[in-house]
Amino acid sequence: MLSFEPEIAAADLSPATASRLIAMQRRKIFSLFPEIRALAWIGAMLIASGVSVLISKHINEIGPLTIAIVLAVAAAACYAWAWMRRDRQSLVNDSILLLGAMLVSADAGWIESQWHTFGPRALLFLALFHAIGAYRYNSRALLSLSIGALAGWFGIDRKIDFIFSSNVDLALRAFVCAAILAVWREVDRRARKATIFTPVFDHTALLLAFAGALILATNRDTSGIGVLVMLALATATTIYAFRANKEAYLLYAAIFTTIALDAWVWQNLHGDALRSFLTLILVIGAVAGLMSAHRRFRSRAA
Amino acid sequence: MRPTIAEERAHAIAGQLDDWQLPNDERRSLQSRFTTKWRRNGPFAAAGIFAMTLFAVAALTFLCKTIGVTEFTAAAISIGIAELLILRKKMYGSGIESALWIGGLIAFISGLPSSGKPEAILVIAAAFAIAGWRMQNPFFAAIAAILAAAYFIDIWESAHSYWRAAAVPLALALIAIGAKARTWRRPWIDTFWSLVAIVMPLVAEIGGHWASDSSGGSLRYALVYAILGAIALAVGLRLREHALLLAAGVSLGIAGYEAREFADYPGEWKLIASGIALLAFAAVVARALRGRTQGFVATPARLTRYDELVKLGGTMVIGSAIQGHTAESDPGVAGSHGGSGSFGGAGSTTDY
Repeated sequence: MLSFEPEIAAADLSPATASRLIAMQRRKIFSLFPEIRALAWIGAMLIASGVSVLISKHINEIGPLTIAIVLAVAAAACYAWAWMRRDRQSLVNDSILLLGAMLVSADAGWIESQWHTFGPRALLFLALFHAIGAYRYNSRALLSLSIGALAGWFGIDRKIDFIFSSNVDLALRAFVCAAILAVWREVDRRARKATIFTPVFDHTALLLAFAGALILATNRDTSGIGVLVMLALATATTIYAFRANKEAYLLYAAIFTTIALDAWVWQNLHGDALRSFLTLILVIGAVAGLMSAHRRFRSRAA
Repeated sequence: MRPTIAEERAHAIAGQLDDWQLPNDERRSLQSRFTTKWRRNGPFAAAGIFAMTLFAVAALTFLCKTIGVTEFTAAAISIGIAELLILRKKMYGSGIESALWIGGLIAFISGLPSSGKPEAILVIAAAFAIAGWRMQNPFFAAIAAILAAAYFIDIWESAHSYWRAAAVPLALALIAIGAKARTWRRPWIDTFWSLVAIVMPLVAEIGGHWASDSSGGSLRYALVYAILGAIALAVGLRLREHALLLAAGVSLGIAGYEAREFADYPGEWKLIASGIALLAFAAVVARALRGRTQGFVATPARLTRYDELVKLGGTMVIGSAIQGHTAESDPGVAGSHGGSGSFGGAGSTTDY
């Protein structure tokens, strides 16, 4: 174990702060908050996964309508539980709400597979439902489910290999989805001053847009335009990262741009020596740029 | 040559300031007090820069091989630059020098003639151990320990014995739990023992099943992991150490997985029952700690800076998987329209 008690005792701190920090170092105060939250989250995920398997294995015994009704009732119970306790501080309410939303997702998938009620729009309705839930409960977890369903509606796969699919149509859908998220983020930010959703929108919209540009860059027919789009996106993201003081976004820009440029080099130039030399130069340039940007971020923070 | 104990501790304190919830003036005072000569990056930036530098070393190695100057030249250049950055530029923990060191050593190994012998695992383990020691990097050191355990699993695989393969990683897990009881002055060594305590039960379980060529559960295995988990839990609660509680969770999770065949219920019901049990346990503990200000409390805290990001990312992935999985259900159901449908739109042709 570690203890920083000697350093804290020697530091120039007020007696109250010093005694609080020393109590933390001696573990006189020890928060189980992360453990409780993790247990509750894992519990909710296990239940939702179990329900999902249950549906797929026992359709004939239970019957499709019964499954749909039971799932809806269970989900409603979770939402009601979280609603009745929304004013109380609780570490597990978030997970119960999330479980309810997961059950709704499972139910929607089930209903659609059995009765084709909404057709291709099912995931869009699901995204809308989770979005309403996210606003009612001010829950970032529900917002992430909503965004996941929206991306699913656009046909963007949940697997990472979709980035290397070289499917131009998929790239365009990723751009449209990212643009919708950007607009949604802006409307949310302007309408609700105390919003906690902005980082979720930012991360997902940027990742989708960069993934779209990378798909274009790795496609032999569109590699040139893909690189140009990537450079434009990276420039805009860099400006935004400095304005918003968010270094992570700059990292996305650097990593995706380097991969796109390297893909272009390997697709369009000949000779292994030249290609690996240029790859080396590009990566060194990106690392040097990141280090320099990092220094700027740190000097601004200081 | 590398940060002193005081400097390393200063870096660790600087990394915890966000969690200490200090008034601005006291935070600034601590920040200036614990500033060292070493140039470092935050974990997120360091991880990104590490990955990119590793990519650069791979390109350099390929270039050297292509122009016929061998991988050893790439290794010498990488390690040379890393040392130069450490000694001249005082870079330590930026992500660059770690990637250059480990990339250089791997490039060196890739230049050696391939023997196909299991001892090759030990050579790679040695590379990670050297880089871990030089860079005070607990992740490299933990990978070295995992590879060392993998070596013993590999050479004892012919015995097809679960216990023989799992013996070394289980012993390392126990040693790590004991080591955590000691107060370490160097933070990287403490983190190394934490990682070993968390990861080794998983290595034992995977290696044991691989060596014994079995996939079924065993009550004996479950019992051993339950005991290991109970030890980690008891020591973790006594020392009040998050890493040991996490290690206990891993061991108890494996025990639950091994015991899965000893309750005569379908797997999905076991998943639901264990989920309800976890949720209920979390609720009971949260309720018991409500309002407490001393000892065990439930005030907001975090294990890493990225707890929320991990949770939201996990939720997005699992949520998509669940809605897809139920939509892919058996189509042959009497009384329903049946069949998997087109569960997507906006021009997508994703047929679930």
